Amino acid sequence: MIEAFVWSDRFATGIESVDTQHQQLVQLVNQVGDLMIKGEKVSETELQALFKQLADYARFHFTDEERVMAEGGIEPQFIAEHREIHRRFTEQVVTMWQSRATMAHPAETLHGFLSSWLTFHILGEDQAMARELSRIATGVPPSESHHTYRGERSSSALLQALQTLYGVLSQQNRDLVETNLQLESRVESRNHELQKAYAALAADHRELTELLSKVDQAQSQLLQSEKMASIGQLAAGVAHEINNPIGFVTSNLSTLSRYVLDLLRVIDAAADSPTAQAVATEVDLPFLREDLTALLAESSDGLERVRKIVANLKDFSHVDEAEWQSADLIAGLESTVNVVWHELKYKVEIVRELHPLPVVRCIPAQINQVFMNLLVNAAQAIPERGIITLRSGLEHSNAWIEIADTGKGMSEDTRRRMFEPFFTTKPVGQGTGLGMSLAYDIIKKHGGSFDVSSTLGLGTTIRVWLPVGGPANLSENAAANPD
Amino acid sequence: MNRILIVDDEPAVLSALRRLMKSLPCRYGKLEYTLEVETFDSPTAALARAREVDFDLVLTDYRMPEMDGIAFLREFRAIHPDAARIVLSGFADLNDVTRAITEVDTSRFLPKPWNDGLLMATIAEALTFRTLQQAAKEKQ
Repeated sequence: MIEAFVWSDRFATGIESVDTQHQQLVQLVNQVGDLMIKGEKVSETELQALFKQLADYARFHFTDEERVMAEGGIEPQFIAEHREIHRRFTEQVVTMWQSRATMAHPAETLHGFLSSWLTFHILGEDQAMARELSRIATGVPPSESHHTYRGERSSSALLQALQTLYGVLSQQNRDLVETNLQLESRVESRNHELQKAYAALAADHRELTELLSKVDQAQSQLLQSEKMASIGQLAAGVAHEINNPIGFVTSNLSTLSRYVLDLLRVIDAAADSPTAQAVATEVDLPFLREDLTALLAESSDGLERVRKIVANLKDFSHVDEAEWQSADLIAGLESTVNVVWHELKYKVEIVRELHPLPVVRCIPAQINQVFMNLLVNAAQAIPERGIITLRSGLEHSNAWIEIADTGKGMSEDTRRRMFEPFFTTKPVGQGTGLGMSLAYDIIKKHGGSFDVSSTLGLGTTIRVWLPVGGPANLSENAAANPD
Repeated sequence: MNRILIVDDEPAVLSALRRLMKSLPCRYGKLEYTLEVETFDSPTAALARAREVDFDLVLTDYRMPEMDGIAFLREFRAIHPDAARIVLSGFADLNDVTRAITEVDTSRFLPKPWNDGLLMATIAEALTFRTLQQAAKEKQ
């Protein structure tokens, strides 16, 4: 706890202005002490303001006191000495104020210094100054009037020792401030280094994240193409298995038709028999005869459809043809339409504006994969019923296939991002967001490109361009290059 | 009367083919062939039978568990070099077809499912070609 700095009559110099100012200083010092003891609850600005007030008032008082000394006739050299004491005080206070952060008890220390200094200064130098002034006033010449407190045995030793102590304290304070400043600059330079290291780390992290996302993307594409390859293999295997039963059922059905014709001839031959007539009526022979033809025709029709689906599946998967070859893009497009027909048939009418194309150097299974993704997206863009128009054409040595839908179209943002991996407008879990990015990669590998035009509410048209002769660097691409 | 050997690991295919050959004529131009068909669902059993009797034509599946169509035809050819050889397969890539033609001199490679009329015509054609080849051989 800070002891209040109490004014005592012993401080009085007998000079009214000086005494008033001393009292005011004592009051201000007490205010500083009170504020500082509250610690963090006092705002820094509040404290600073009070401290400034004290400093300003001290400066005013020192100036005033020095004026009084000069007017009283004290010799300039003694005034200068006194002023020097004032100046050192100011300097020490400023130093202490600056180093208050390093002090264990800044409030006590600062308040203690201020009150002690004022006590000893007023009791010492100021009292001596007052006596000197009164001597000059009584007619003693100024040169003989100077009489420091040093001459007064009772207090001089003590006061001098204290002055020295203040000097040591103030030197220590200066050192502390310097150390503090050095420390601050070291901390700052460390901080700077840390910040640089952090920035480097952040850059590394960013790079790593980017790499990781690339790996992710490559892995997903690999997975997707592996999936397609195994689907192709599965399709081919299934096709093989199905072709056996289709083969014998189809053949049997034709044989059955011939058997039936023979049997009908037998029935006709026996038509006269009364028993035969009775049975014929019982089983409704005319209906059977009529329906047999329809039944056999419908069955062969169904089988023919199964045969076509399997044939398309085989064409589409092209497991035996996963290499560069000259292929008919339109045939590929048609077989792909057949494979995804189940996705299209209830809401889509297909319009064909196809112009014959020369064979194109490509990997047909992959191009079909692109067609499939485009067709499925086109169908999904159509909410209820719509038209998908298939067009083809040739410009110079570039063939193009166009798939246009009358669906809901894409926003500018969607159009810009449609080839991004994992970008999807479908509900979570319904689209991988990989279809178009895979298509993009395939077409890029083929040296081709996409033209996309889309209007919200009207539909989307996507044109796939492929160089007829295949990509320029075919030999590089032909190697199993995943890029 | 022409003797035909048919091999396929699927018995239903064999039945269908047997019915077909019994109920459809086998014609090439004005020539009409009467076929006597023997069927086997095992290539090994078919080869055993081939060692016992003559065949004018062999029709085999390509993918079978014991041995594939090419391996079967290679052995069969050693027994009956002059018989016509036809492969009937549900799945074959270009490699398989090439092997069938270059390795065992197969005259036809037909896909499954087959077309009845086309199959009969192919058999008739192969038989005619074989007759002509044999006639040429005898003249030499």
